[in-house]
Amino acid sequence: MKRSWPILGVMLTLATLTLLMTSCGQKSSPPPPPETATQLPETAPKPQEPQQPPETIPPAVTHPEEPQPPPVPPKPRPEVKNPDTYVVVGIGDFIDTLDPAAAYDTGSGSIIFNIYETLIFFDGPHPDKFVPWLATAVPSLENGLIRDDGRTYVFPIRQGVKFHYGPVKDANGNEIPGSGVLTPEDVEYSFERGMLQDRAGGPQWLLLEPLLGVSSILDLAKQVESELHGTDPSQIKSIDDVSPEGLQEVCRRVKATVEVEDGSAVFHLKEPFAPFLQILVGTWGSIVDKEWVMTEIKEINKKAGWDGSCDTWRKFYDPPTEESELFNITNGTGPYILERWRREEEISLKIYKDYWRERPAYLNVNIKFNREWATRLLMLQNGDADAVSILPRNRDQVYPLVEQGLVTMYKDLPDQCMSFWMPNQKVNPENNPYIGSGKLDGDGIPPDFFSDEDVRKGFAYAFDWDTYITEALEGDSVQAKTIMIKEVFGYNPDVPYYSLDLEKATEHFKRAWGGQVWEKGFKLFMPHVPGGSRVALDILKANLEKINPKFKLEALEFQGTQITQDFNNDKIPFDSSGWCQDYHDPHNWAYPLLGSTGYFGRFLDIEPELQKQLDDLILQARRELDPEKRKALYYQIEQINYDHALLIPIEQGVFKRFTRSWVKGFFWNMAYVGTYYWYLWKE
Amino acid sequence: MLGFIVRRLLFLPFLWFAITFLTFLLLEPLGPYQRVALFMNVNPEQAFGGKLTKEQLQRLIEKYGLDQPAITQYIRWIKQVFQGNFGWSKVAQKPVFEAIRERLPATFELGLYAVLPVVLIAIWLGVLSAVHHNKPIDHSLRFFSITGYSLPTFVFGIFALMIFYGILGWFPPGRLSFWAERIVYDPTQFTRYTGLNTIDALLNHRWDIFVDALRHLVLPVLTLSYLSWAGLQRVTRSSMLETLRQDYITTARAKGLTERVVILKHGLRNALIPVTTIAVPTVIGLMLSGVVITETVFNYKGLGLLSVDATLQFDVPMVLGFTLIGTSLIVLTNLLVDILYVFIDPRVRYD
Amino acid sequence: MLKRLLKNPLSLTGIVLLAIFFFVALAAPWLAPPAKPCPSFVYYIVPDWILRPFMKELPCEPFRIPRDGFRATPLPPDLQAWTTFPPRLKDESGKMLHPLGTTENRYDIWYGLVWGTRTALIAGILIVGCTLLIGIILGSISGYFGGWVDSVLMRGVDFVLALPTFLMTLVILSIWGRGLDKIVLVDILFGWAGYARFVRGIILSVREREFVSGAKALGASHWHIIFRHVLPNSIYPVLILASLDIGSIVLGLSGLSFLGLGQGEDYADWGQMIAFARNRIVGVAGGDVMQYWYTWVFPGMTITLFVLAWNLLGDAVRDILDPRLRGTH
Repeated sequence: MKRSWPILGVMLTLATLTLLMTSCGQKSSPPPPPETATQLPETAPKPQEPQQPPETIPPAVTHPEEPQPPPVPPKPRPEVKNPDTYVVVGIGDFIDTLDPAAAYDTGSGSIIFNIYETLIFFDGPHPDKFVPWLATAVPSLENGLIRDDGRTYVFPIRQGVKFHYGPVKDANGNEIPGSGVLTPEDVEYSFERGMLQDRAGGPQWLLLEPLLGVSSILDLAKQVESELHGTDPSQIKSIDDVSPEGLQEVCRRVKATVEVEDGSAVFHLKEPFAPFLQILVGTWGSIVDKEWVMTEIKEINKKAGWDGSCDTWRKFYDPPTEESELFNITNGTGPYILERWRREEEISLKIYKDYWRERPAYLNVNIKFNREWATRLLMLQNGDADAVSILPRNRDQVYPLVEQGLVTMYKDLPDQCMSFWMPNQKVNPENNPYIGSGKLDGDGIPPDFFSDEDVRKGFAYAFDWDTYITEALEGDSVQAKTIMIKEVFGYNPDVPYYSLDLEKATEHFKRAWGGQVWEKGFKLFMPHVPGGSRVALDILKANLEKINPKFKLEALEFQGTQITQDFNNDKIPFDSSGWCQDYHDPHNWAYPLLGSTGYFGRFLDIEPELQKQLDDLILQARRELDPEKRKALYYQIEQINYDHALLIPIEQGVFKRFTRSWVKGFFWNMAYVGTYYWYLWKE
Repeated sequence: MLGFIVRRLLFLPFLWFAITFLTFLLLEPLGPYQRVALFMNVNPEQAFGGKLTKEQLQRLIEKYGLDQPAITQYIRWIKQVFQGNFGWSKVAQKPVFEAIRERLPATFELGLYAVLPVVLIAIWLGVLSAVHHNKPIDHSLRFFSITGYSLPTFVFGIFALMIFYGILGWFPPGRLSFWAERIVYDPTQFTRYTGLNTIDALLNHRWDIFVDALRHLVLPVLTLSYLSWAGLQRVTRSSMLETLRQDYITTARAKGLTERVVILKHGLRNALIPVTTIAVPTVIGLMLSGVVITETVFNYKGLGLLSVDATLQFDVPMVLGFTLIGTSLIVLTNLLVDILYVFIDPRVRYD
Repeated sequence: MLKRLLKNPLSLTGIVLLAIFFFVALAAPWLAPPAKPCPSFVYYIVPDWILRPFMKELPCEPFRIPRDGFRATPLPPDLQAWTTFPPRLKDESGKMLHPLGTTENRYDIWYGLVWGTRTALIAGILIVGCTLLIGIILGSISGYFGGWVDSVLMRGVDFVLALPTFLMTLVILSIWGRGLDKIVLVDILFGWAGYARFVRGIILSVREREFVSGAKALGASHWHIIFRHVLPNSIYPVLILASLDIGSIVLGLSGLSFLGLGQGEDYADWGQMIAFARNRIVGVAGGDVMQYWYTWVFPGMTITLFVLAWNLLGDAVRDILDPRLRGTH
């Protein structure tokens, strides 16, 4: 046995070595002075007001059914780790692009809105109040900056705001005038560049709709072509089919929407558009430095961006995401500079020292990505991370840290998304796997099965919200009651809604299709992504079988892309879907959900008369500038949805958020796309 | 010999063509809608908050030429490859080639530390086991290697993580501590010559970073290596056993040579022949799959982790890139082994 | 051979363990009866990932683990379930009992392990059976006929052997999406080459023996010679070696489902159970690390023992089959 000792020896040396290593792993520096932390700028909210009271005793732990974790003796308060940086560990890289004109997902937005800034911004935690940001005033009818009955918006532009990169030099080494500082021309250019770029699947339709009354640049081109040459719009399939004059005209029309008038940026709307200010707060309203984007700068960008001319915009139209000149470089006016972004590894934001508000941010930001939950949890526990992504199903593992006061839990934070059952009243029967026999013979459903109001109501009364929300979603939701989330203006708190009632469901099913449904039964297939959660479907299925054993609901396993395709081909008769708002306004709920051309509305096949009524109400509400009248119109739409059970709302998310207790200054604004890090500090 | 090497190297591009063509054939039955997911930067079902409309999909299909037959798409792709463009990885959000170049050093570093000790320790233990054949040390080593061999990488890795990070806090996951990361990725403070953290740290005279990098390497290296270690030990043992029974060993012993010389000079050299031919390729194969699981468990940001993410997110170009690299690695190792073979065993010639 | 295997304590342990696993797999419907009995025994034997392409809907899915409510926190083992054997899955009041506790999302560990054994063995046997069949057919053709048939087939074998199986699995799963059916298919597609080469080698050595030349002289057809004379004399070691591969094949399968490429979260599959367990391996933060010990101890032990059993047996068998080592034990 003499020779076998070296192995043990190696192990011992390794062990001692690592013990030494742990002690030199951390660097400490004094925490930021506390007095700066309490002074918040006037434009920002007072910290006391927005901060939600941290909950120390999480409700789920005291739930009688849960196993009680053993009591743990309180540990001494640990020293603040990484005192100058806010470290987050997320699951996977969520950033699509950093070009503010192309980004349309919350992941990208959550970074962009810390780097770039918009003309106006949210007033602290209020999703529907604004403060001036890069503009010096929020336009309103009272201050006269909204003119022409809501067709013109004027934004006086702040002076002395500097972009991160600073002035740009031209080829001869001379500074380009206007570069590096915010000018009204930058505002004009930012919006025009965005709209003309109009990335496929990007956010620009949000701006094109109020400013030009179209949903894409291609739509505008069709309009222009048919006006110029009388071309049939269906002839124009892509931008290549547009004539040179057409291209010029499209560009001219876009450029006419945003103008500079003595120090102000002026927006000309196609027609009054009540939620216009809300749209401008989104990351698509970010302001870039015109001269910086237009110039080719060595070692910064690969190529120069659009030069602002109507001759060249075609080259910059709908580039692949990665070919946008701003895809992975940034130059904004916001409190953070992009330090580095290593895909699927980390993204780092550095404090911008020359920030225009009275103080720069307190903390640098470092977001890492790690799919392994155990690692994330341990990093939170050891204080190496200040916040980590926590899936609801693992939340119980964090509660002991909350009890020990190491981690603060913020709860009841409303989400901006909502899910609903979507009965499609007339599906495309061709090659449709979801309708079985396609007849009402107990072995399928007819394509227009859901056109019978009683069928829809039967389904609505058969779903068990309570079980679904308290058990499957661990109480992370509240029942959604109508077609919009409850925080949005225009939500009727007294709106009637459906709840589980098998008797009423039976009653409706007995009446449906003249009693044939009850007699013959049906078999309905619902799409299901392999590995996805089937809970909602299972609950509904069990209840339907309880009502009548002949009612059958089956899951059909398909890959997600297949389901998307079937959805787009109008084939899915009944499925749960969800919508997250683009901006905090009822129009962004009513139109996509119930409008005849809306994202979901176009597949509902609501009977024409009712649809026309809905469309009129939606349009009217969009134009109406008087809040009271507007509200009444949305109440009407909500009532119609309930009366006819057009969409059956399921739930609206309610977040919980966990952060190391040494991080201060957090508050929740539901319309934020992420965390606005400028407010945070550690102590 | 040269002819042999050239022939073997010519096999490589052939393999590449075959693998890529196979992949494109497999893509064919998917239909353009699904292929959008493969070629777009994001999954359409998740993209834009799931708000991709039919018209937008159509635009994307036309843009990427996805409605054309597989062969047309393949030719287009090959043309791109010859221009040095392996495609765009939506997971890495950069060209595949660049992503691989960035992640390869990490995996290489892991492999480097995992392979060398494995080979040396395993051979040593195998010899030990064979020399003490059927003695307690042989039995315990065999038992050790069999149980080691039977413990799945992911079970082992997770246990190791729990003990050494969860309870003891010694070896954190990742590649570097946060403070070190800030220095390493700051070009003004640190030059990344090779991308291998330990070596770069030495070249930059940063001992603290060297130690930190090493600390992060311990568990992944251990997890990655013990499996191959157990296998290699088994092969060495049986091969050594066989050699030791040969006549020339008996002769050598009869000549009065010391046991040490007999075993190391006459025994081991001959025993190594099957070890190199059988075991090394197996170890490389094991490591390729092991690296994927190890990197996942320890969140070690190398190629393996990237390719799992890529697989889960239908990022075909990225997985394909990783596969081509892996294939080349295997072919080249086999070639190397065959060449080494000539030196170890003078009886072998390739002509 | 069997006698020697039974005499060696290591291989005996392996055999006993394997016998237990086979028993568990066979007796799965008795050990862990599914909540909803199936109309036909077929559904107990053929997993749904094989049936799905042929049937639009399945009347029952015994391979899916029952879930106790929809919460996520694991439940500890119920000792009262063990008052009978097999353990009860429901008490008198109809409340669910969990003999080994539940894993995350409240999937029953006992049920998952028992039916997971069935999944593992079915997938393992299916893969080995199919690869072996292809390998034997192609290998014997190649070895028996020689000439250009042999060169073509062997180039094919070289090619397939040069492909990194694991990586090709990743490529194919990234195209077709996840699922055991795809993994099994890929394993078969890329697994036969080794066997083919092995069989060819044996055939080559058998081909020239007297009984083959004798049969040739008698004018027997090629197929007759291959299947009646050559194969029976050479197939035995191949069969044994191939069956020993089941252990590593199952290990590969669970590795893939651990990575999230398997059949989905409610499917009785060991890798999936480990994937759940890995979230619980640290217990609760700042508290007891062992809080959820049952979520990883049982699945981890099961899969380790399974692979161990095959390795113990395999080691002994290889030693016996390898003539060079004969007599060293």
